[in-house]
Amino acid sequence: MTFENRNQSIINSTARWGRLSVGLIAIGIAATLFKVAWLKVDPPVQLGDRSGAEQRVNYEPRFRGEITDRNGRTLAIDSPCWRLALDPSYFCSHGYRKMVGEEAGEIGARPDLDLVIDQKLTLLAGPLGLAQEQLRVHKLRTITAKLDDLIGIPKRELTRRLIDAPATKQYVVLEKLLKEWQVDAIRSWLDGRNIGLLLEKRTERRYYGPESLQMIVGKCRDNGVGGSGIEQRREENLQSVRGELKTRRTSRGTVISIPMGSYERGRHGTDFTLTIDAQIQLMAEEALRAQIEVQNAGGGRCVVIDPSNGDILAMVDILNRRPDVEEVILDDPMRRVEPKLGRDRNMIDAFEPGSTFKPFIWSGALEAGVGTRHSVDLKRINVEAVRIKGRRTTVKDAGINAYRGPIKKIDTILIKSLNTGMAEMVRKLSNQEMRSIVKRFGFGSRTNCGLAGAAEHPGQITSLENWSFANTTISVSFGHEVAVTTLQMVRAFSAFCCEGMMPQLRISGHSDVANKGGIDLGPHLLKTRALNPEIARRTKNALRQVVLRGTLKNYGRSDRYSMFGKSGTADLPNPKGGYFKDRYTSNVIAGAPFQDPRIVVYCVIDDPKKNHYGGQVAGPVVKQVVDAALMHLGVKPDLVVEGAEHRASLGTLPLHPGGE
Amino acid sequence: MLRPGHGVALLTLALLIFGVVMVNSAGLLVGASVPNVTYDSVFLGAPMQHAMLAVAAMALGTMIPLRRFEAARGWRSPAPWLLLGSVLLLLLVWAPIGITMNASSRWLEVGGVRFQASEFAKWTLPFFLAWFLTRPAIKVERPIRGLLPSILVIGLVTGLIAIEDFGTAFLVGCVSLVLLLGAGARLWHLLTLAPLALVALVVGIIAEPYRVTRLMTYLDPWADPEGDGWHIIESMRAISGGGVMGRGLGAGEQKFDLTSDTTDFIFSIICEELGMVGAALVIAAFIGLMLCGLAIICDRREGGDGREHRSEPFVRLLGLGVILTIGLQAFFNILVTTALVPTKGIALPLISRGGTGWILTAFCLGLVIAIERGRTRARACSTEPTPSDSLSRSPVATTGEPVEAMSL
Repeated sequence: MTFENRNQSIINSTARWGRLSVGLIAIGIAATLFKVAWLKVDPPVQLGDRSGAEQRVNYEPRFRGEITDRNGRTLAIDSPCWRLALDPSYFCSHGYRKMVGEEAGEIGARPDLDLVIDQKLTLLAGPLGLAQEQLRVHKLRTITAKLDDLIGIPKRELTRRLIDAPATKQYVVLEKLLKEWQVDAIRSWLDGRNIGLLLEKRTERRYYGPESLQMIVGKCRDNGVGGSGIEQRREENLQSVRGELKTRRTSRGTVISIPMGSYERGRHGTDFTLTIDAQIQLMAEEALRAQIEVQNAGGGRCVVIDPSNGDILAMVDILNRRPDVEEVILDDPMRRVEPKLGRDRNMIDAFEPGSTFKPFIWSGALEAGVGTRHSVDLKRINVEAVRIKGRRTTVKDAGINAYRGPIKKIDTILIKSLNTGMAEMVRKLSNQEMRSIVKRFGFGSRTNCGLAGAAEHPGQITSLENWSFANTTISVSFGHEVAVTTLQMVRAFSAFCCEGMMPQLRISGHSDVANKGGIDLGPHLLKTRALNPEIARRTKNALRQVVLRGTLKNYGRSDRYSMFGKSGTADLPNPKGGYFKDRYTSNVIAGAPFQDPRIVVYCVIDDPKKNHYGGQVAGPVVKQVVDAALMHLGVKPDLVVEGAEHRASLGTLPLHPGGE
Repeated sequence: MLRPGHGVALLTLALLIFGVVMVNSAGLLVGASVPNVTYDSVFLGAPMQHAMLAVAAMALGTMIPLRRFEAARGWRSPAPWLLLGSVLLLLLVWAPIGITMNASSRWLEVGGVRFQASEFAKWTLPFFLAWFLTRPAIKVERPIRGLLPSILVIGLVTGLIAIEDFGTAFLVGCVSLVLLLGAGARLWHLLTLAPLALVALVVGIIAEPYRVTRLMTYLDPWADPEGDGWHIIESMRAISGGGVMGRGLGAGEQKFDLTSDTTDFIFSIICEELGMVGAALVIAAFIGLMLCGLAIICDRREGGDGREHRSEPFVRLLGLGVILTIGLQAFFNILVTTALVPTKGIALPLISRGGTGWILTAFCLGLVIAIERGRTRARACSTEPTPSDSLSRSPVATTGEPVEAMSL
């Protein structure tokens, strides 16, 4: 081949291979356009329709309203806290490598070479799956061991939780509430690295105050919504609205833009004040708990209110399950699970009060004309068991030492708590009159105090159609055949303290957002007349005599304050029908001081085993609470007990007319 | 009349300007205290300066008297020296002046200028091969006398490149293969070497665990979407966005997550910001560039001088080497960004950021233009009535006098 021919051959060959190769490349490069089009029109499912930036929302924590007692003591409050969580998926794929690699680097060693090899091997042995799972477990154990070292979270339980979580899970809470030093320790260890460990700023609801307040204050769920008690009832006021900032971010979190108007300022919840006085609540709780223990009772309730305005100052409910007793008191399993979720029996459970109900019937009968228009044959009282036509059982006066003395005044019936007297008093009243007396004091209707809502028990009064003189009228006159709640009792008793007016009970007041963000705790005027003032005063005087000479004189009588009240001992209903002969509900209701009543205290003790007379069982609790609460409220003692100095210190405080 | 050389020049200019715009767009940062993309950065910034230098390099390339190189014999030819220099540069990456970036020692820094050593070898090897394969003594159709020495040279250079940059080595190897065939090598001779090449390929992949990982990632990018699969998934995400017309220049959003957005994955950003239309235009520009180059290579019109044929094989092979390098590089880059092949660090010629790459590519395209320019000038000379000795005083063949001004 000549040189010229060879050149010509190369030229031809170059042209031929040039056309072929350029043609192929051109076709190939043009064909890639189809892949571009395919990606645009029908992208892989795994891309999840996500291209470009995504809108993300950053939340700004806002605090739920604070709940305080009437004196401003905090009962429930939100506080900032940190939560520790782990993204196991990210940790296993990247975080572990960063963690182990950098820590090995710190001590100058090679990064976990064995593990790198393991990873390669498991990649090859992928279909077996087992090796990868083992590797995952190893990684998770490493982080839990590290956290155990660092902040003392028990690794065993933590490891189990992480291993049990599905492999695809991206969020597992490790610790709901971290202490400050733990946060600092984690931050300094992480030093800006992202290994999948998340420190999240949260708010935590903290509760303070006596244990018995938990049922009243209630519980806030993890999602920040009230779940029970005041937390639920006042959700609208307490609820906070968290702030939001919407941003457009890349999938790695780089903020690209913040659209106009994307920031919404949050709102803290409105602070809220209860009428409860945490100190009185604590006193009542302690006194009641001690007495329940002493009496080996199945439970107890104690309510303290301010009769002038209906503010509930304390409301305690304790259940005591006794292993050796067959309990007939309705149980509250939720209380054992979480006290905040308990059923407050002061509002929910109704019971037969017994003789503490007598003042209402007695005063109502007086107002209906008994003793004036309708005479009462005092000679028939207190003699022997009274037979009532149509009634299966006789009416007799209770007690081992029932009063057998002379009855000159109708007041003695109440002072000595005579069942026969009550039966004689109501003999002249029609069914309708008798029922209206009961209704007039608010029994049979909810107190609507602002806590239980529709769940509050309205009490139980026999309907007029089923009302009979022999059974209903007679039984109701001494507090049977009628079911009441403790709140109804204290509301009704307030009528004797306030010249016949009954206040509207409340545990929280009307919103007073404009002034202080809580409620208006000033006196409110929503009152109902139950009695005329004269009858109310007369009843109050009679009730004072109960304390001085009657059933409360030994156990329920304060040395400092002039009390007036009534005790009651009701037979405990048998769930199988009828009443137990030897199981009782003992209760005492009292107001003090006599001249200007500041509190009404009602204590019910269920099924006491040691004693059973109301005054003996519940009287000491009422006495203690009256003394302690009035002292706490700054009310000067109106009785002289500590000598001349103390007498002088009382100043012009008047003693009641029938005083000692 | 618009000639293929004009097409090459215009398309090169268009791609460079487009590159400047896209590099600025893709390099946009958010949240920086000082905006990084401004009028100044676009018109006076580093990409624009590199583009201007690239235009100057192309102009310089058009003025290179290529036919002289064929005339140069033995060690007087620059081709072996250029190749030797490239090999030295490839070895120098492990010397103190070598720079390791992203766990790879590909870079050199001389006088404040940073460049990849393989970038030079990528261009000098086709230049050397074009010169070497057209030597009268080299019979490439014969395995021992022609093919073997060529294969050894190719093997040496691609081997050195492959140590740190497998993608470029593969590219250079492919181009060299076509040049061998273009020079007259027998296809079956080369096919007998295919098993050896395949073994080298497999060994090259297995030698580095990250290459195995890339292969696995290519097969299933979703196995580790936050790690090894990140690049390719984000690239696909960018391409899938923007629709036909794109989100708009500078309005791409995936670039903030996609690393190498101004370099290896700039095509994804083009797809997102300029949509299907932008992608089609870029692809059309590269195809156009190759076709214009091919038209120059395959031009069979007689020059005015019979002696010009002697240099034609060299320049044609050189031209083929240049357009194949550019075309294949663009092809590989687009294949990588569209997840059709495993991820490799190959830039999109004239568009991906990189001063050295732009300047060398533009210079080599200038050489392609120079091929056509040389012929045109020779034809012009042949049509003019010249003295009888004018043939022997041809400016290209003898004196190498300055050629006429470049006509772009």
